[in-house]
Amino acid sequence: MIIDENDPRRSEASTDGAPGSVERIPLCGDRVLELAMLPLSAADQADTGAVGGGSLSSRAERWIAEGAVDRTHTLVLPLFGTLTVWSPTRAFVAGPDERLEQLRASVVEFTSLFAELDDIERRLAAALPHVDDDAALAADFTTAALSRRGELSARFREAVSLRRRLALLTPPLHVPAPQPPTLAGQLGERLRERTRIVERAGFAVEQAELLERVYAVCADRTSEHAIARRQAALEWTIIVLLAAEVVLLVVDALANRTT
Amino acid sequence: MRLPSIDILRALAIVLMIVVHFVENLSGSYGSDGGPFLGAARYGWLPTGFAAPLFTFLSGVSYRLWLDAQTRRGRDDVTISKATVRRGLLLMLLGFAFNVVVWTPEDVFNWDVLTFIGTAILALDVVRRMPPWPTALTACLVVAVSPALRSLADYPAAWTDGSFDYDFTLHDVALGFLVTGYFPVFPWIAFPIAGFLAAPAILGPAAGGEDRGPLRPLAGGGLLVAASAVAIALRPVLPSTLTSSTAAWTMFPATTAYVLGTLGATVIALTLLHRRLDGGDGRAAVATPWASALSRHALTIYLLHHVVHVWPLWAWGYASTGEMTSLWQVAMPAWIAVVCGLVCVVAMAVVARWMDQTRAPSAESLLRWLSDP
Repeated sequence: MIIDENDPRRSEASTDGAPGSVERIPLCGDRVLELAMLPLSAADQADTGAVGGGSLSSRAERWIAEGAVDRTHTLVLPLFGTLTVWSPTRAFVAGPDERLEQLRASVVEFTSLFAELDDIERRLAAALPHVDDDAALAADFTTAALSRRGELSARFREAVSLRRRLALLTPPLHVPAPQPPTLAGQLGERLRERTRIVERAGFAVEQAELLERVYAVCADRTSEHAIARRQAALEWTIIVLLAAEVVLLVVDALANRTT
Repeated sequence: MRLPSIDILRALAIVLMIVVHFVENLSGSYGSDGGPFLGAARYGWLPTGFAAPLFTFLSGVSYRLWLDAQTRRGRDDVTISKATVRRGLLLMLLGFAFNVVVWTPEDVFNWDVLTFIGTAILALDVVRRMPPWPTALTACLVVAVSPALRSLADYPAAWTDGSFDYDFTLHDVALGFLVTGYFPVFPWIAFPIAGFLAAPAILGPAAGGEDRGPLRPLAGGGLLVAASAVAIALRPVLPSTLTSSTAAWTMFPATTAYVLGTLGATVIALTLLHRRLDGGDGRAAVATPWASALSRHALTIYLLHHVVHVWPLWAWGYASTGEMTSLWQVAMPAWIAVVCGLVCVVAMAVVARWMDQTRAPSAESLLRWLSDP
């Protein structure tokens, strides 16, 4: 959906320290997911037993920690003889060769949704601190605030853009898991649950709605103020012309009185 | 916030004002043609007619700076209006008192510069509510209709021997205020309005505007000077009803060429000084303390310099002939008056610095105490 399989930025990455072959997958903006995949034979699975607790998991976590921006996001998900270690920037999947592609697709789809939401959240976090100051202009727009018209307009466009992105993002987050259950479907479900991505998207929608409401009113006030100024200029022009006429009449009358 | 450019320009206006007033009041009839000291008969070397445009234009600029400061401090509109009206009325009152005490009681309604600046401050309280374009239109209309108003009011009839000579009648007093006095509303109100309007463009962020460079105000000033030249060139072809002055460039009456020329020169001077001196890098360090002292006490100096040369003139005239005004304009040759004026400038600068350093009471502190919120 969000991932373009033909994106020219897609490439094979260096495998230094990685527990398997690494692929670089572009996400939204300039974000990239480095995905390491390791096919496991039946013997490997038997050797490692519960793969999540073995040295493979430790190696994967170390590799992910090296490239992770935020270590709190690292999730380890052993699932039916497969191992997935995930973070927003690096992920590792290991499993039987025939299931790797399903795991890959599931991880890539989830990461792309997560990256989109993460970017939206960052933008919301940057925009929200301005709301208190700007809300005052929604109630009372003054001439002194005219110089901020461009700034307010940019914030309104940003709010609308965030709402649009959230509107596109939310439906895929609520898509039910396939029935009968598949490995990829269950991996996706678990990633969503562990990251609370659905709840976070809900909060983001509320925040974006708040921004949109405030800046929509600001946009209305700005526009009304601009129209009112134009009308006031016209009214003042008429007043000034009438005043000039009155002055001419008064001076003429006074001068005639003098003579 | 004090801007060295404004202080220096206002200090220059004070110096010009003192020298010109000394020469005019003590030596006026020593004019170039030996007659009354008016119009073309003025000394060519005397910088007459430049101080008042500077003062009145800067009153508009200063009002804009004051208004911005009040807004930044969170003062509401009503408080600002009250302070403005109080200041305007007090200046008018002071102007009337000055006319009676320094000149003579019959000069009470001669509409000198203090009463004009008081009126201008009252007008600026209206102007500040107006959008920029109607304000600019007002200034243009004032300049444009003034010759017609002078013609309607028969300006020359209100002046005798270079002085405004009115009867104590409502129409003479009202016409003096509007058109025929020393500083009538038409066209002098154009200066403070222009100052108020141009301050953001000239001073940029210092006056609540944006810094768009000096090109626009310089071009505006240049256009005004060019328009002044055009007005001078067109004078021979204008109908005689619109040319109530003795020459194209006179201060009394303030001809269109004079208003446009001095306005343009003031805009250019303030723009250049602002760009040169207001950077805060100490380029004006030597001149600023003295200029600032003179500028800060401009009102006190205005009152004081009249007292120190007009009152002795009255006393000397009364002592020598029994007629108080007998020595007016004939007391001494012009060069002695210039020397006296320059001595007065130095004395006023010292007094102003002393008032600054000792925080001595002054006309300005009294005005602030009475009018500021």
